[in-house]
Amino acid sequence: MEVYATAIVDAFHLLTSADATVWEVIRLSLIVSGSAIVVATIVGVPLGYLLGISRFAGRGVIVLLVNTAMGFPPVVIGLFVYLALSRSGPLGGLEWLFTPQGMIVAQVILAAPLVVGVTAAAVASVPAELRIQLRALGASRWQEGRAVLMEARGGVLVSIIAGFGAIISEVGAVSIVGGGIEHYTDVMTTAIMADVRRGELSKAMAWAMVLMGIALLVNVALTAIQNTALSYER
Amino acid sequence: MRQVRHGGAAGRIALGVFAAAMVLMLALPMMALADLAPRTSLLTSARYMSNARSFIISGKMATKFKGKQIAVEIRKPGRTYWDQVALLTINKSGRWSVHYTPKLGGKFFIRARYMPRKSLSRTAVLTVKRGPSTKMQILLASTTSTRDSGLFERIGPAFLAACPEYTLKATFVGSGAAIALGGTGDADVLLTHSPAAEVDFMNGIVAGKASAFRGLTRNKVMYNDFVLVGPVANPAGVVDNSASGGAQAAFQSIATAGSTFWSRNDASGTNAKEKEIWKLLGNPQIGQSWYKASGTMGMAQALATANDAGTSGYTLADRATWLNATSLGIVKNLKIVNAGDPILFNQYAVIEVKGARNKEGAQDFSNWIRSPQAQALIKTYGEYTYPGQIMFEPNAGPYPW
Repeated sequence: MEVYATAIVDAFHLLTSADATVWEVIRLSLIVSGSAIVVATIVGVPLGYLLGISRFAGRGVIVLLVNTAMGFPPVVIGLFVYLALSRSGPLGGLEWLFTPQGMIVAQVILAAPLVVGVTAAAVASVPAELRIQLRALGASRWQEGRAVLMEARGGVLVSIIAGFGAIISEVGAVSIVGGGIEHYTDVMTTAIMADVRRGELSKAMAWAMVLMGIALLVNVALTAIQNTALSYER
Repeated sequence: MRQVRHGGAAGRIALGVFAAAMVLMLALPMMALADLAPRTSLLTSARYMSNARSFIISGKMATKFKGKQIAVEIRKPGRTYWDQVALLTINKSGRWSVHYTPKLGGKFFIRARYMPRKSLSRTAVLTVKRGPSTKMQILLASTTSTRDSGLFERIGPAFLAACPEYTLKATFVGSGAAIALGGTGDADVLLTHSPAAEVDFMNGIVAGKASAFRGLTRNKVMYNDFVLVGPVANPAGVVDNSASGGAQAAFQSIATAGSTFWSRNDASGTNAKEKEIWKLLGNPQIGQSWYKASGTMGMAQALATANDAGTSGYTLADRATWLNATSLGIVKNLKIVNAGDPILFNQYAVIEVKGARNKEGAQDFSNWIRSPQAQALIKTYGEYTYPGQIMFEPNAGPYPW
């Protein structure tokens, strides 16, 4: 128990120390995971909606694939993205390896299936009668889509929260694709790995507390949004 | 009055002959030395656009040279070779020109070569007052001991001070992974200490397979040694024999006693050396439960694990990480049980990757780290923190392979 208490105190010291690197790392973590979840939302929510409302022959297979992709190991995604972005690989010309852009790509690939899958499930649970009623009242496809997503907004927000949680805490993809290069691609999770490898366990624990604290703060914010969004129902 | 005869016509003829001889004597060598090949003039727009980032380089020759080729070459001060940036054809009025945007900031030399006779124009100096907005990036893939010992914190900023037009991105992954990054062309320059793997890389083989890229140059940078460390109680009874064969005997004692041995199993330089010694003994460690091969531990983590009472054991470490770990206080239960055997010699090398994305940067880094200033930095590093111990000893030089 003391270990954690000391770690929390160390975390405060880490944050209040005048070390600019600490804030650089935190900022990069938030930028990388933040951008990735925004892109995953923009791509994933419409796809999830389409998957949720559609009824076609291969739908079960697609849902199965999306659910499998949700549980894909981040380190495997990192390896695939590394091989694709490597100079000997197909996308080497982009020069995104060992850059934050490459890390964002890997994290989008990680978060998108989560967003798609949970949104699809949320949309599918909206009663079909609502959509029939909307169309009967003359709604266009866009208006119908917006209304259904509003109904399912609780689930959609959960998908975004889950996606963000998955990518802010993963280390395999960002360390293979980013390389953990100090000042350029070092995020909180790779900093923890590097400190553990270097034997500086107390610093690693301090970083761990900072990471958990930030994840908590972001989730508090997202849950507040979710509660406001859902409050109209009560 | 008697006319003084002072030579007269004969004298003037002699004077004339003498003068002609002098002229010839001076002129002939000059004519011989002068290369009579045609040259182009060289004009750069640097004269009237002093803050420019791109320049017009042009020149003129006689019209009869139309259709011939002109090569424009560039060299940074301190670099040994001239890089060709453009190959142009002289147009029908004898002129040629090119619009050139340097990728590097700073000062550099530019000249034009008339290709059929390879004769050079004068050399002009271009200065790019502000560097391009994205500096040229060098990706250095290095072994972990340069970072774990704290050496890189010293030499990284020093390199950037010496060559400010670059940004140095250093990824510390272990020698095997660094060589793999060189093999896929993602790294520009490598800093490793795994001789057998390095020689393979120079021949285009990485981990037993042909690689897309290979090494261009390989040079020594610095050395230290490996040390075998173990619990203070030394349960395997390892003898600290620094003679040749002492390390093998030490490893054999560990195998015979079946004491825990922590191996890094990550193709790093330390791991390669440890495997080399086991191989000399006929690999007694394969499949044994006392041989713990964890692929995910760095050197300092392996030392911390061997230090811990529950997982106490022996491990091979490089001297620099060992010294750093002792100063961090994470190896209080370990001591050096064997060192000094010539087989434990640990040479660090810097390798430029052939066909690297930033070959100028790779060459500049390789040259800089072998320069007297960098070598002095390496030598003095650690002398203050660990007086009397050598952390890294500089020994820049060619590395025959």
